[in-house]
Amino acid sequence: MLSLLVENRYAVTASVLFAVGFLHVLLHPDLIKKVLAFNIMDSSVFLLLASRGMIAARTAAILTDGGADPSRYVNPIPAGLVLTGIVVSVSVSAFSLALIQRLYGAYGTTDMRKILEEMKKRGE
Amino acid sequence: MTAVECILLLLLLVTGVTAPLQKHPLIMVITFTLFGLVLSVLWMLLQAPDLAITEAAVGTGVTGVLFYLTLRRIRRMQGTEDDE
Amino acid sequence: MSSLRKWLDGEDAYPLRAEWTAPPSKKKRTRKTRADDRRQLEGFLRVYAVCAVVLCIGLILCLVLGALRLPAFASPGNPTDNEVVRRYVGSAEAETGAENVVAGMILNYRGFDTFGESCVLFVALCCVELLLWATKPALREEAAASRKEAPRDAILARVCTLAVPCVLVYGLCILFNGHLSPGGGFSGGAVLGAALILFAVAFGGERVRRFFTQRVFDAVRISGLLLYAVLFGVYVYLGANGIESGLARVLVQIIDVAVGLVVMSTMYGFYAFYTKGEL
Repeated sequence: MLSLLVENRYAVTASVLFAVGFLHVLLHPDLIKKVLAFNIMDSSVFLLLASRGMIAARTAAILTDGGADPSRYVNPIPAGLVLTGIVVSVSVSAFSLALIQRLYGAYGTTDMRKILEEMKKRGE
Repeated sequence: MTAVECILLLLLLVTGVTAPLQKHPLIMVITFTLFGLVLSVLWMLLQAPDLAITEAAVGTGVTGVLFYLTLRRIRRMQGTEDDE
Repeated sequence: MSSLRKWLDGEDAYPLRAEWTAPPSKKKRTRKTRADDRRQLEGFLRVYAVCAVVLCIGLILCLVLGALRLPAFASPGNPTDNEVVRRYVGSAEAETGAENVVAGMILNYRGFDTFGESCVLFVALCCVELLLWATKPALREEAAASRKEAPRDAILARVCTLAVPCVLVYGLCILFNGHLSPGGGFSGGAVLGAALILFAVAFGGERVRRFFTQRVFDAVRISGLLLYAVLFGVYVYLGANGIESGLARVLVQIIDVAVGLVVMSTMYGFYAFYTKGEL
C-alpha cells in the first residue's frame, strides 16, 4: 500500500489537495479564502497534469545537445498546457479579488453569508 | 530523489491545507506564497523549467501581492469606518 | 448608459435596479417567525457542513483510489508517451525553428490557443480596470496619507537597487532567448512584470510612471496583441509548419516577444490598478 502511494505520489498529493481545496471552497464563508482555496485547486490540477508527462531519466524538451531523438526528452505537451493555465489562473483570481473589493465597498464585509443577509434586508 | 520529492510533496500538502485556515491575513498570504515556492521547486524536479520560472514569478510573486493588496485595502476601509 | 456610468463610479451597486424590483413580501415578519428562520438557517448550515465534509471524504477516497490505479509515475511505456510526443519532439526544430519544444509548440502548433490566452489576459485587465474605477479617489487619498506618515523602507530600497536590474536583465534574457533555452513569452513577461512591481514597491509608483505612462502602457498592451494577431496571420498564410526554418524562427521569436509584452503589461497593470486604480 505504502509503496503504491509512494509510486503514485504526485497523483495522490494532487487528489488530496483538490478535495481539501474543494472543502475549503464549500465551508469558508469568507470570499477571499474561497479564492485562495480555488487557487490551490488550480495548482493541484496542474500538478497532476505535469506529473503525467514526466518520464524518469529524461531531460526537459530543449533540443540542444541530444538532437531530435524523442527517447531522450520528457513529454512537452503537459508543460505547454500548464504554462498557459498558470497565467490564466492569475488573471482569474485578480478579477475575482477586484470583484470582492467592490462587494466590500457596497456591503462592508467579505463574509458571503452576511452579504446575502444584507441583500435580503435591502430587498434586492 | 524520491525522498526529496516526498518531503516536498508533504510540505505542499501541509501549506495547501493550512493556508485557508489561517486567522491572520498576513500569515495566510505568506503560507500561500510558500505553497507556490514549493510548487516551483517541484516543477524543476518534473523537468519543466518553463513552468518553474513562471510559477516563481507569477504564482509566488504576483498572486501573493494581489492577495496582500486586497487584504490591506479591506483593512483600511474598515479603519475609516471605525473612525466615523 | 448613465446607469453604467453610475455603477462605474461606485454610486449604485446595481445598475439594473430600475428594471428589476423585488416582489413585495406577503406577510409581515414578526419576532417569532424571525427566530424560527434563524433556527432553520442554523440547522441548515450544520447539515450543509456535515454534507460537505462527507462529500469531500468521498471525493478524496475516489480520487486516491483512481490515482493508485494510474499507470506508474515516470515509467517510459506510459500511454502519454505516444506518437504525438514523438512527432512534436522529432520535427519541432525543423518546422518551428525553436529548440525549446515547449515554446515552439505553444506558439506554432497551438498558436490560436495561445492567442486566445492573450485575449483572456487583455480582457481580464480591462475588467479589473472597470471594477476598480470607482475606488480611484479613495486610493489617491490613501496613497497621499501613507506617503506622508511612512517614508520609504530603506532596506528594501537598498536591496532593490541591486536586485531589480538583475531581475530585469534575467527577464529580458529569457524573453528574447525563449526559443533556445527555458523561458519564452509567458515566463519572460511574468518575470519582467514582477520586476516592475518590485521596482514600484521599493521606489514608489511615480518613478515607474516616469517611463511607463498611461499612454505607453496602453500602446504596449494593444500593440502586443495586434502584433501577435498580424504575425500569426502572416505565419499561417505563408504555410504554417511548411515554411522555411530560418523564417519560422524569426517569426516565432517576434511572436514570443509580443506575448511577453502582453503578459508583462497585464501583470504590472493588475498591481497598478490594485494600488492606485489607474496607472
